[in-house]
Amino acid sequence: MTEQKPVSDFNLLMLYYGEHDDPELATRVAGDPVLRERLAKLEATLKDIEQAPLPEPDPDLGARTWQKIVPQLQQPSAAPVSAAGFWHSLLRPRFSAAGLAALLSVGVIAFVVGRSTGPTPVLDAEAVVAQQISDHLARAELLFTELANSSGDARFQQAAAPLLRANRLYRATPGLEVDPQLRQLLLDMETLLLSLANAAPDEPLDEGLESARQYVDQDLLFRVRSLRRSLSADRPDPV
Amino acid sequence: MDDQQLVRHAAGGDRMAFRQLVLEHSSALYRVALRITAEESAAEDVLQEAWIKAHQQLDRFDGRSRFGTWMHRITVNTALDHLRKRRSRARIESDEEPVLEAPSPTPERCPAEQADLMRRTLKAMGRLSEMERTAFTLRHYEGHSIAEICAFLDIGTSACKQAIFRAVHKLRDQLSADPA
Repeated sequence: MTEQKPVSDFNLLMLYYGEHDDPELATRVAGDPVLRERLAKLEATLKDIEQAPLPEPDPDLGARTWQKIVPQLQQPSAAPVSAAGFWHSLLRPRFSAAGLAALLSVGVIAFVVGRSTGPTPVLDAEAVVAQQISDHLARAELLFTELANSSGDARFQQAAAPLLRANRLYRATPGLEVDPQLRQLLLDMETLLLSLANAAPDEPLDEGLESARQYVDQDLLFRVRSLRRSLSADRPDPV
Repeated sequence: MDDQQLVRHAAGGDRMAFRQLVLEHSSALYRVALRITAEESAAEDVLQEAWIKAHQQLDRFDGRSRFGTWMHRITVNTALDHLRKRRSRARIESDEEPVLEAPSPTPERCPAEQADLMRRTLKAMGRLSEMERTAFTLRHYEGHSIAEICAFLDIGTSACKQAIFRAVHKLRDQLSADPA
């Protein structure tokens, strides 16, 4: 008669996890009441451990995490730029080819959106850049403030549609790609404005728009305000 | 919108979609990070870092696995990186191991026995070494195979199995020595 090696707790644990090396171990345990009882006790302990709940994370964890990470989210392809940003540098009295192209296109945009009355001298055109973007952000801020404070029954479609059209024009401005902060803001605004403009006019805010409301309240509105202030602060005083 | 659609939108630069993913998955990922780090503030740091990494790598998510599974893996890796950094800062591992603080039980959601079990388990988990706790957590709670854990922790099979066994042995001893 061959004497079998005793089964250790280590073997039983590996059997429990399905990680044992001995192909006959399971059969041996199944046929031995003492081993079965030891395995049952081990299982009971592990079940207890497994069922012990963790402290419940607070309900604001997701929103708090978002607030913490959002300043660090960058588009992977974003070119490094100074903190001052492209539009700020554009306001300085020197011009690059991209700046000039942007200024020219802003003149077109200003015409299209009806905020400029005619050809603009070059020095005034510097101010037009900041003014047009700043005005657009101010109009968006009004709408977003209304949305953030709404109780869900307000209608935003009418106000969102013209803002969406203007936003698309600003986003297509040549040279914008070198200011990732403004580019991202306009992109985020466009996503939201599109949802608002396409919302059914006779229906209250649905779940998706309620989520949009929270997004505006907790993130977008702050970014619109700070970028608008930043643009206004850098704008040269009118002569 | 389901996770796959949200990921596609987020990869295209839609921050609202990414925010939605953060809101939906953070609690589950926080629990994973907490089990591995055994420290609530560290778990939050890990969670934030994991989301930033995920945002940078969204275009690499091919949709073959569930987004939650993909994020889970990023969180585990980030938590392990966190432990490695903590070790490299030469903190003493044994007696100064952080001990998870169990919160006051909420009576309507957590009966007395359950709350007591939570308190004792967390205390016992907090007393394991980082290696034991991580190996045990990955095997027991997260269901990773020994081979996967070896790869995660860069250790051999025998060391990994022994770490799990030591963890279970210590947990059993501490839970039976610290009755309700």
